[in-house]
Amino acid sequence: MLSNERVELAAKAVFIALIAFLVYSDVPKAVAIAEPWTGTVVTPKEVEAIYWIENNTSMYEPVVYDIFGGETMMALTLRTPPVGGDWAVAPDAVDRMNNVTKFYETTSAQEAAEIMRHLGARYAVIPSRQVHAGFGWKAVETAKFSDPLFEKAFDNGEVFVVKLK
Amino acid sequence: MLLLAAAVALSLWTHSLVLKNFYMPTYGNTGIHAAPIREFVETGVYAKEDHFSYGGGIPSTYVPFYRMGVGAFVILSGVSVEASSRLWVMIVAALVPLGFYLLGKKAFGTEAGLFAAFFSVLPGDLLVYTIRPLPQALAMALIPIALYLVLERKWLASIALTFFTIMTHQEAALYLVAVQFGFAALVFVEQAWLYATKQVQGVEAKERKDIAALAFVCWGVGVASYFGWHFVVTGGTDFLSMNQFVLHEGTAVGFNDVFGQLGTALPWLAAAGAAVIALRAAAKGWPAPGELIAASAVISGIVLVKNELIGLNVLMQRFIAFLDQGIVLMAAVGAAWILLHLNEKSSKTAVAALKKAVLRN
Repeated sequence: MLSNERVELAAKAVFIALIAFLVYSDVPKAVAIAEPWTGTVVTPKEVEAIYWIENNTSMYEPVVYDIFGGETMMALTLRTPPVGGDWAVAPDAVDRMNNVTKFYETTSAQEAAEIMRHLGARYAVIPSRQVHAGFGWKAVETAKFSDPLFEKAFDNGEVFVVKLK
Repeated sequence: MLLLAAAVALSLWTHSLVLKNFYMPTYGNTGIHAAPIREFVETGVYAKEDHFSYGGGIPSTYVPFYRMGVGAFVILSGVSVEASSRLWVMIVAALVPLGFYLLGKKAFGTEAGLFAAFFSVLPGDLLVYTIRPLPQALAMALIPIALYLVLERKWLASIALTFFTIMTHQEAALYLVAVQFGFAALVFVEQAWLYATKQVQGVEAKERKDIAALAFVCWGVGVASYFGWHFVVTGGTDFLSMNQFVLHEGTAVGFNDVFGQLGTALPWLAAAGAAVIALRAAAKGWPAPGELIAASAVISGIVLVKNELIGLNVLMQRFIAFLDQGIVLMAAVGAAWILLHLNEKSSKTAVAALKKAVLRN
């Protein structure tokens, strides 16, 4: 027969082992949930383009970019994207989201140029990934940037920067 | 001590995901904090105007202490803004289990403290919001410590940390003052009951009243600090006119959204903790202060997760991580109670019941 103390000790050991097992099996689940949130979206080649922007523009200058790229650009270089950031008291946040979404999606060079002028931007960053300007992930329509309204100011094979002429 | 170190090591390991990429995580608008930090470092001034969001030129309504803190760290250490931001995540990773240890220990004993430290590593949403370089991560690490200081009746320290947390992150601020207010309200009900039934206040009721007074003061300081900041930056106090409220940013939270990210252990143990607190309250007349904090932490979390039911309808899903904090504490209470009641009698009863069940089948 086991003594009372040993029964108690064994019961506690079993309970702690059970908790340890549950912790062991639950931790990977938490990591699996969190891991997608640790992505960068922007690529090293985009950061190259962002540093080119820094060397060719001034502090707070507006540069067209999507939300993820724009927030990376503001963090690394203190340049101002038209979308991205804290929209709490931004008076025209939704208009800006619409404009930047149109800028990347439109096939019309004229319309894209007009949006850049409206936003007061000389440059726009064009990544090869999909962009997000507030209304979901969208493919970039790049053919319009061959129009004479634009000139390619920077190109590293993955990302290019256009200048409005 | 070794077990606590193991919980901290586990938390550091899960949070080390923040170091895996060439650049810090960008989900959750991390750049909108790194930009004012860089601006502060490069200009030496913390701007009240946001020069970056949606074209810039708008008031910087975000509470400033995380940004100022990381900025000061960058200036003093010379480490880059980006690396410092990730380093602070690792500091948060260490603080989360330590804070829960203190709170759990104060609420229900050393065993509960150790369980709380380990359980703080388990909820998926709690990890999602502490693994990225965000003000919320720091504030979430401070909440258990602020509540611990209230329970300890450290007036100055708890008021100061409440103020610091409020000025670190808005949603964390809302949750913290809700828990403090909830605690004070529950004790107020007890005091009203004692008064109505003309019962004499015992030593335990007096202790709860003293803690509730502090919790109420912290709530007042917290609310006043936030409105004060909003007034300084915008010239008004109408925070309900912010886009998040006007456009109802956020999605409704369902049962699966909460339970799907908790893992296996926490829901059962939290249910046990809630049952323990209810039964002890029924037996003793009123829960102990630590148990009341655990109850308030869960109730406040549920109210904020379902805030559309109180007419706010804003950022509901973001409050799951705060509800997780209450569930972690409640589960620690449950686990500690079970461990402490696994004596010879209960063990033999359990073994006998198990044998009976096996023989029947």
